[in-house]
Amino acid sequence: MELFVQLLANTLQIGSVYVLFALGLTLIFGVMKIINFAHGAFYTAAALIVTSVVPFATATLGLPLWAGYLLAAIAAIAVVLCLGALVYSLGFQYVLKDLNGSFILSIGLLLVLNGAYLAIYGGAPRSVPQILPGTISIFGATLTAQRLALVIVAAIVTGGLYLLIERTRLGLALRAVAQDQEAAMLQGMPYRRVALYGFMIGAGLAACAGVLMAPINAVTPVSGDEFLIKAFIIIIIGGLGSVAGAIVGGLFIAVVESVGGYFFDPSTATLAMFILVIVFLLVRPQGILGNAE
Amino acid sequence: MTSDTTILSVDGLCVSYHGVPALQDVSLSIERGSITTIVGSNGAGKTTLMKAIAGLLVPERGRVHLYGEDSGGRTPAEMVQAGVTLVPEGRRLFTQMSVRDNLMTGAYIRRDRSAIAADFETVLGHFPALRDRLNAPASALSGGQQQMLAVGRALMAAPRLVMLDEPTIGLAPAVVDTICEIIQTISRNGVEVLLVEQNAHIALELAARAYVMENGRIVLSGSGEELMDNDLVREAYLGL
Repeated sequence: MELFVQLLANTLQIGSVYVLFALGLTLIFGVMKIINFAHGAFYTAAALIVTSVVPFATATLGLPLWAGYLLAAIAAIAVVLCLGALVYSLGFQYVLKDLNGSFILSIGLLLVLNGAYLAIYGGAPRSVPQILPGTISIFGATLTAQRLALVIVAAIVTGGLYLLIERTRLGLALRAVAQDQEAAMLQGMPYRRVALYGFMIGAGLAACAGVLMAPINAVTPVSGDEFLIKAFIIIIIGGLGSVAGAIVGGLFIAVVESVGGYFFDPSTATLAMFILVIVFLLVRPQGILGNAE
Repeated sequence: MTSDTTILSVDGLCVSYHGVPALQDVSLSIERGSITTIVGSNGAGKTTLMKAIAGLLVPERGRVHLYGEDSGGRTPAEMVQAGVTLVPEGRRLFTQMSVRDNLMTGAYIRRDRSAIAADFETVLGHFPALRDRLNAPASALSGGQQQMLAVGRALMAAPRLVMLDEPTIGLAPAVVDTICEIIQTISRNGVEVLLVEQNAHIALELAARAYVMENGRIVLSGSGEELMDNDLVREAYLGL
């Protein structure tokens, strides 16, 4: 029981960040039919901003740690949204539905942003003091309060996104555009604006992931990039463009990683993930919840 | 040619795909209170014409006037706002979305919740078969129900002009009759209808005014009855 709960806790911890990251990637793919290889840069930007705003807020402004973190979170998300709007209007809006163009653009953007982060912040890992100290014990398994908070916040954000997609007018447009862009336009949906909103929501989700992870893992200028490959694996397994698929896929990969990592070792778990992707691509290329076209 | 009763007029419209002309100097007009039809074989340019009117394609030359106003350069969204909706060929439903959500996409441009709810009931009144399937994905409907949903979705925009591209293609005869009745009902309710059909029998019977298209040009026009008696139409499109 204790082992089971511990593994479950590990899975939720890893999985919640994967889900946020993959949701953004899959949403952007859905509405724009492109893959944003620079998606990790949004995560990194948010995490780096948190590492610089928290010390500034606590030392210079004299705020308590929690308030400093809250301020840092707001600043990080705001900056990433501005960055998202900037790269969309300068670049991405010209490569809608263009896989080659968007590949070149997003890889280039990734290099530029990584270089900029390195120039501004340097290569050394940066960290944030513990925001929520202490551990919590559930059925004998221990979990740091900070990681529990991460899971809860990530679950709230994911639930909010789900409501947005399923219950709102914007959500209706995002789903319609993802399924059939021309038919959506014939219903009066402004495709380009809907694509922009989808892109911004995706960037915002990556920023949320970065903000949540900054106090847990040390941040480097390439922190976000390691999530990109995993997020690919997740959305291939879950189904490209599927919101529910990103959630299911994210948790599934987290199970493989935490259980495989425990019983075997982390490199076996990573190997298993790639084998899974190959199997999925061969047997069920549309993923668990995707639709064959 | 343009008068007070003209809803939409198309003058000298030319459209090409990668330099290949698809529409050449097409002119037509849609008058108030009547069903207008365009008949023609595959590849005659009927769908291209509808897409150009809907704002999906940008014409090289020519004008489209809606209620006497030039609608050149309007986006599809602006055309829907102006009251023109297209039920595209092949229905183009959002198949993974529920029947209810499909209908709601049609009302995307509208903000008045109570009017939308009233129209929702009206549409379900036209198509009672959809009422029991509101939560089912559109892909679970039969072909006839899907066509009804596509027409219902267009009506949810509270349009002034509905363009229907091949609404009866591939449907069973009984369903075709239902669709025809609905088209007449729509027209009686004060919405103008532009009907594009390969099935000239249906189209000419319903329409007050008809145009025949061949190779991107309008080659004949007249009342539905006139064209039904026309030798060329009888031979080429009615198989008589």
